Formats: sequence, C-alpha cells, structure tokens
Amino acid sequence: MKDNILEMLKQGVVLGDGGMIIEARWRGYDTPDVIVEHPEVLRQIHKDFFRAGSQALQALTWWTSRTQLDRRHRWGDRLGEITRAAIRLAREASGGEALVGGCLNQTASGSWTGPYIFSPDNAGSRDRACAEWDEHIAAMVEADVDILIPETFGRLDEARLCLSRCKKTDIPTMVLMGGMNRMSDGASPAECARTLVGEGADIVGLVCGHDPVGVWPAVLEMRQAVDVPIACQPAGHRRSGPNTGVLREAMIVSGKEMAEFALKAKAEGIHYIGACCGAGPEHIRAMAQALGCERYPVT
Amino acid sequence: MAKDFLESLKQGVVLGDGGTEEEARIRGYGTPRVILEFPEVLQLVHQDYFRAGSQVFRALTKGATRAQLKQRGGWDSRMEEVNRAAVKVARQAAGDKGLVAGCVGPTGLFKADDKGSISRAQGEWEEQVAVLVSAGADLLVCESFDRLDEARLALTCCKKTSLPTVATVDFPLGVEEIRDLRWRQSVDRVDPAGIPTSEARTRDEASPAECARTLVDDGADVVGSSGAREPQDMWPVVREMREGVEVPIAFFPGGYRTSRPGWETIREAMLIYGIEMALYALQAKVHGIHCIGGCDGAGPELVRSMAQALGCERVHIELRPR
Repeated sequence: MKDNILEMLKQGVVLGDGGMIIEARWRGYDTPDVIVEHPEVLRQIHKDFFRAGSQALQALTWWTSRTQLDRRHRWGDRLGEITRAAIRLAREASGGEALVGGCLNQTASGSWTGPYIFSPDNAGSRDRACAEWDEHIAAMVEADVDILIPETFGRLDEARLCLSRCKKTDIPTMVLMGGMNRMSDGASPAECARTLVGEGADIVGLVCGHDPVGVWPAVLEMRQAVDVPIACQPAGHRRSGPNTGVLREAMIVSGKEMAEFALKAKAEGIHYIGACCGAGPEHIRAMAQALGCERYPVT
Repeated sequence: MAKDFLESLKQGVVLGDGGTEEEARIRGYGTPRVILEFPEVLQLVHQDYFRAGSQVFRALTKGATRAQLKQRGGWDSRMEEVNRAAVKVARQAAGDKGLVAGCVGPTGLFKADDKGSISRAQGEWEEQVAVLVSAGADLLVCESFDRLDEARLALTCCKKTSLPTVATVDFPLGVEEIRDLRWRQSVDRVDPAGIPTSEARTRDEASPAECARTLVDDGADVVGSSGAREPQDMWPVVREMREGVEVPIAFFPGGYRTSRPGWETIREAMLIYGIEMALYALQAKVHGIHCIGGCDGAGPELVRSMAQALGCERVHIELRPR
C-alpha cells in the first residue's frame, strides 16, 4: 500500500499515529535517548501503532535537530546518524507497508520546545534557523522519507520559512501549526492555511495543543479556507481544566471520544486524521475501528 | 537480587512490577493472545519494568485457568501452553536478576454455598499451579480476590507446592465509599487501642486484619492487597494488615485514580502521579511494608518513580519535566 501520500488522500482518509514522545516516556524512556540506546523499544512503539491501523508513521525526528541534540547530550555531530536511525526504525516497524514522515520542529525563542533560534526581527537568526533545518532535511532525504512534516509551529512567519526550505526537495510537505486559535504572531488558522498553501504546502493542518473538542473550530476554519487536504492531530490529553499541563496528570481523552472525533473529521472532509501527545496505540485502534481500517484486530 | 524471595524481604524492600496485563492492553494487545502470538511485545513490557527497577515479575497467568481461558475466547485447550509461555517470557526479561511469579486469580466458578463449584474451582487451580511450578516459577501470587473464602481456597492449592506464596485480597470501593473517601483522604483511623483500622471489607465481610490473620494461618508467606484501590485508599488497608500479622506485607496499589467514579475504563481515568507512587513507596518502607509494587494502570513510568525513591532503579533514565 506504500504510495504517495497525496494519492492516498485523494482516495480517502489516511490514519496517522499518536504521540511518540509521550508514549516512549510512558514506557520509561526518554527522547532522543531511546533512538540510540533502545531502538527495539522505539520500533515496537511504531509497530503497535501500525498494528492498530496507522497508515502513516511519524519518525521520532522532532527532537533530533543539531541544536536540540547538542542541548541534550552534545550529540549534535551525530545528527545524520540519529535522524536516519529514527526513520529506519519507523520503516522497519511496518515492513515498508506504511508511509514514513520526518518531523521538523520549530526553533522560535520563547516556544517551550524550540532551541531558541528563530527571532522574527533578526535576519541572522533566520539564517541560523534555515541552516538548522537544511541539515535536518538533508538527513531525511537521505533516509528517503515519504512526507516532510514541519510541525507544532506557534508562529506563521517561522512556519513559512521552514516550508520554504522543505520545498527545495520534491517530497510532499505537510505543515502543522500548533493547535491554537490564534498564532503568537497574530495569524488566524484560516490565514495560516491560505498563506502556507499559497507558498506550496501540500497539506496543512493542526497538531497537539488542543484536545479533540478544543481543536474543532480552528480545524473547520482551515478546512473552509483552502482546497488542499487538511490534517488534524489533536492531543490525547485533556487540555481544558486544571492540571492539564503536566504529563499523565491530565484527564486522558477516551478512545471512544477519539473515535467519534475521527468520524466527525472524516465527515467534514478532513482526510489526514491522527493524534498527538497522550494518544497511545489504544486510541489509534479505536479510531481505526471507527474508520474501518484496523489492521490486526486484537481481542 | 538474592534468589530467595523471602530472604530478600527480610533484608529490605523488594520492588515488584506494575500492571502488566493493563500495560499490554494500553499498547493494543489483549491477553491471552499477546502471550502466544506477540511474545516479543510482552517481553518488552516486562523488560521496561526490569529497566525501571522491578525485581519480581508477575507472569501474565492471572486469568489462565482452563475455565477462564475458555471464557476469554476458547483458548482452554492451550491452557498448559499459555501458562508455560507466560512464565518463559517473564523469565527471559528477568534473567537471573529477577524473580518470576506465577499468578493465580479467580476462576469465575467459585460460589461460597455450592460444594460442586468449590471443588471445580479447586481442580482448576491445582491444574494451573502444577503447570506454573513445572514451568519454573520462583513464587506464586494469589491476586484479584475480593472474597476471603475464595482467596483461602486458592492459597490452599498454592501451598500444596513448596513455593513461597503471596496471598493478596482486594477491597473494591462502592459508590458510597468513593464519595466518603474523597473527604477522608488518606488520614489513618485509629481504634481505641491505638491500632489503625480501615472500613474496608471483602465481599464476604472480612476486615483487612482478619484476612491477614486467616491467610497467614493457612500458610501464606506474604499477605497484602493488590489493585482495586489507589495508593491513598489502600494505605489504611495495608497498615491494618501490618499491625495484624508478623509476615511481610505486599502493597500493590493501582495506578488509576479509583476514588473517582468511572475509573474502570482504561486510560480514561485521572491517573496517579509518579511522585504519589514514590511517596507511598517510601512511606511503606518506613512502616515495614516490604513487598511494594503497582497494579492496573501503573506503567513502567510509575514503577520507575518508585524505584528512584527507593534507590533501586536499574537503568537510570532522567524523566525531565516538560
């Protein structure tokens, strides 16, 4: 079934996976350490998602850019090796049957995940961010990813810049903004979708940030704004209410709710459906059952 | 760790694992299928607990009597194979650094006032225990019994072997109790003689102290409670048991917030904090409760928190806040 993501999206819904970093952490492993030190664990997580029904697996490259690796363990020089290993593990998990996406992270100062590079008013910082992404993208191209996924951007200007680097390759690009009702540079979801599509994004969408309930208005706004396929990957943690910022301490979204969300999204013409932080194989299985694409039923 | 389970408990705390069956379910694999068809998945679950610091691994045999297997999708003809494979997989993960426990749970047959059902249940357990022993289990654990009489019967079957046996009893919470417990929290209640008491009762109306005494008289080497309650609600139960008997006490609270209605559905409940598990593990150690672990909902991450607190984490991984 390995096919171009855009062809698959023309035919219907594509089911993505859940939140890899949180799932690894849940099992007691840290990222990016797990890629290097416990590859069999990471392969198994991908495999669990694949068996549940994922048709596209996102490799654990979201945290493997040079600056991020350096911050963690001074592993910056191993960027190529670690990024390729992460992609290979995702590929092996499905025996080549599922598509493999390579994730790119935002770098903006002030974002909680970013390595604090991109700053809108500083031309030098734009160059440094581009250099960071270029090196990362080169490793992904070498590992032959099927989709480039710049994701969790909190600013439209930064997402545009990253997209421009991805478009130097001929790999389909899916740009995912962080699930917010308005980006920190003031752009609305519709504006993000129009601008990114205008600049060549093949798929646009929202990831993490919100739970399935919270993400809904923003994703509908995107759906109405553009004609390209829309992706939606809400968090599996409840994001509204107290104590929701802390891992495993939030009310977790139920598999049933995820399944309902998947059906609702399909009905609205949102065709890349997945999940993010807090959503494990069980959630994806519930979604796969609803969408009728469960791969290995497990009693 | 020393090969002798009871000797290790005399010397100090022994850390068990979490809820392996629930963890496999969270990863998308049902039991007993995971044992026979995806042993590598099950081995990784055990291994994740091993790396976190677990020293005792409960093989996935709790519902693997012939009658239970039949009910769970017609696996009864493969009863021996299931039990053997479950013990083998746990052993592969534990190597010679951990102990493997064969688990024995309710058969679904037991009825207190029906002699025929009692002897059928006994037959089921004896058959299973014989397989667990020949598969090389280091100890036996009776789990998930919410009736004392049923737990006693299972214990009797286990004690026909020479393996050390941990007998645990559950004290599930009713809706009324859940409401009440929200206000009581974990405050220990003390009777006039200064002994901590809890209001917990099994379905056949036995108190924790009574359960502990009876099971020890019947030959249990370790008594305790496992699952059905979160740490703060299980605490009074094990404290009462600790006061009641001299043998080591097992404390295996659930990783789900059981004091909230609706917790029964997997991964949908408010989950227990790692720090909470860690604090209760330390508190248990201070009170001489030496067999510590988790139950349903306690994944490797929670067991790691306990291991870090107790100083027995095996492969250190820093879990950074995010």
